[in-house]
Amino acid sequence: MSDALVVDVREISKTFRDFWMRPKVKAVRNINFTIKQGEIFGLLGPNGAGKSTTIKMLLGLLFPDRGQISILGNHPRANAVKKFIGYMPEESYLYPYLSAEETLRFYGKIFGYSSKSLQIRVDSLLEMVGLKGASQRPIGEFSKGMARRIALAQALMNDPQLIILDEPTTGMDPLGNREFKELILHLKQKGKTIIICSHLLSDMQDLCDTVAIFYGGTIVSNGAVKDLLSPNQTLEDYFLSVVDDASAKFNTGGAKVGDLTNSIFEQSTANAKEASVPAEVDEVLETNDPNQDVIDELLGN
Amino acid sequence: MHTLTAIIKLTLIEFVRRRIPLVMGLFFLVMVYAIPYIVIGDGTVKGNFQLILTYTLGFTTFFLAVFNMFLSVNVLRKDWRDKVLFVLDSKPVARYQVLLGKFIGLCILNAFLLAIVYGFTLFNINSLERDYQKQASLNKHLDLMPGDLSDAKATVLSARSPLKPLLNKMIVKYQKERKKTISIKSGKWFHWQFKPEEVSKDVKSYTLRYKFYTSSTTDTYKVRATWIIGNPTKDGGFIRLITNNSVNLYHELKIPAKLFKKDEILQVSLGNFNKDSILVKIKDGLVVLVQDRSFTFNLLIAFVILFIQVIFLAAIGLSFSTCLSSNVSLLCVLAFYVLLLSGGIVKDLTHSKILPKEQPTISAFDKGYNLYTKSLASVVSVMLPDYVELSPMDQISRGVTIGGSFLLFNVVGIGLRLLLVLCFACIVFATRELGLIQDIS
Repeated sequence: MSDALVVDVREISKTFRDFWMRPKVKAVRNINFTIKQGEIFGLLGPNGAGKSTTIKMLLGLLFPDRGQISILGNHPRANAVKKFIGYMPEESYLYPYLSAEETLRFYGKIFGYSSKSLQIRVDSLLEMVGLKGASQRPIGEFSKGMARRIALAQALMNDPQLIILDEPTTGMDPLGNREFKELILHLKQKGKTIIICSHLLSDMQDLCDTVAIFYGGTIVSNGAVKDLLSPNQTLEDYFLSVVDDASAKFNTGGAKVGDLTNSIFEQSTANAKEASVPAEVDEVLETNDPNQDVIDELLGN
Repeated sequence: MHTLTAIIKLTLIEFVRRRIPLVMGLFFLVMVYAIPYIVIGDGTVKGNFQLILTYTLGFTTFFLAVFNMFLSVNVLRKDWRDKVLFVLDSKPVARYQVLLGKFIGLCILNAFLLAIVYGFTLFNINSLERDYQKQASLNKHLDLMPGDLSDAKATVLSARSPLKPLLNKMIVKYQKERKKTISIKSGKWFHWQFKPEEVSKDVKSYTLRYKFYTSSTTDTYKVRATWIIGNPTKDGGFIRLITNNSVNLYHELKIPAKLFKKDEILQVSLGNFNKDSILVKIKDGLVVLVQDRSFTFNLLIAFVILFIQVIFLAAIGLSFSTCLSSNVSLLCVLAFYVLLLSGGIVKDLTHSKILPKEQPTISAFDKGYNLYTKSLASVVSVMLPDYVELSPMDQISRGVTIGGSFLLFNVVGIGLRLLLVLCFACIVFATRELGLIQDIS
């Protein structure tokens, strides 16, 4: 990881307005962060915190009302910088009438690959995401997990320097999750800079060098993972504590995130007791890792 | 360039996979095939042939326009709604390339559909020849044109009028008196004067095409007319003919080429020796035709003009879709199409009714208002081509060929407007935020 800045965000704000230009939602407020080359940067936060809006501003899909964004020293809307960016959106926005191979070939053509090198690149990407056998099927017939894999493949088509992944593992099976983590670490070793937005905090703790926690459109915590966490503290714990503090500070009203999490645990405990679950399950309930699969199993889903 | 070709290819793949060329192609094939069975002609070979062509072009224009309205507002908007544009915009693709690629894809689709209609129209027309020859032998009472269908084809769509009618004074007089029809009373003569603009040495004869009405209500009424064609007062001669033709039908006379001399006036005089008045419409009552070039080529020109008009509409739809939602864009392009069809009327309104005439400006408000109305009139003049007079259908209906200058006017006139619209669309699209949750509608 070098000190060269890949992403430099200064005092950006974004307010969504209605048809009459009246402010409707202040999505992002005075955000500052920087990302160095070779860093894996995590964007964390509850739903509606402004993570996706920030990502869209980094890509030039939205224009900040104030502030400056610099990507590889250029304006985010410059075509010159887009050659070095790979983006995987939170949903697989792909052309349903194209096959997997046609999709990758289309994006490859945009990057100027010649026919021969494009074929090699497409084949290697399909193999990497495990979809070589389904390369001729239309994307519209794919499952969500398969579509996510193609979305990942298209993000890596140009061997980008900066890779932006928004909820990359949504819909992926555990095997896919593991392969994804291995891929990220491999890309990091190659010196790629990666921005990940995800709710799987355990994975984020393993992968990210630096994280920024969003709440209410601002960054409430930002720094290296190893510096933010206390010994034996998980990212999950830290995240919840930061969000609780921010929630109290912003006084947003309604159920707090912490309250919702506690209620899930209480319900799980009650169900477990009613079903006469053995003592081992109670120990699992007391874990601080509210993995959804575990909760579903306990609730009998 | 590779980016643009990739987007064009993507657009065409989308059309093919959604089966648009197949469905629309079949639709137009059935339509063109069915027209000869629907259209009731005026009884002449040439008239029927002309009507079939007119209706083919008319229906093709209408349905292609409607089809393009829907497709052009959705071709970009669908990608925007489905958010695939997010991913595309994150690649090194200029926004104008996306727009241009979609537009060129639309042009290729329209060219394909028009090629189908063109080819099948040629096939349709050629197959009429056999029908008419068979029909002529069975129905001798029909007022058919002498000669075969190839003769009719030669003069309907390959004929041009080399004569500039000197009818200005009469037209002005009759328009002022709200009369669009010349009335020749019993026992009276009426004179037309033409000035030949160019006289070709290779032409052996010209064709005088005419159509009469009378005050009589009987359809089978025949009009006896005496013609004097030429210039009786000068050397060079004239011809005198007597015709006895049915009303409300087109008829033709062959006029020897020796009567046509450059820079000399050709006079066509018509004498009415019936008890009723002969009525001749100013618009299409009398025209002199000469064979110009091949029917196939002239039909091709008609379709090229149609193509330019249709892609102009597609560009309008695409332009609206860069800043408005699908439904609103569709309404706007529909309104624009109505304006185009009534372009002549709109121009007259903006220039004569809205634009003030010789009003002394007495206040700053009046000055501002005058400037506004002049600007409005200028915008209308820029954006609305003279569709009323530039339709290939109108040309064919009048039996006048579609000349090269006409084609050039369309290409340049509409082409410039098309470029203007595309530039506007590219600028608007380049400044739009693609990542908004809700679009302006």
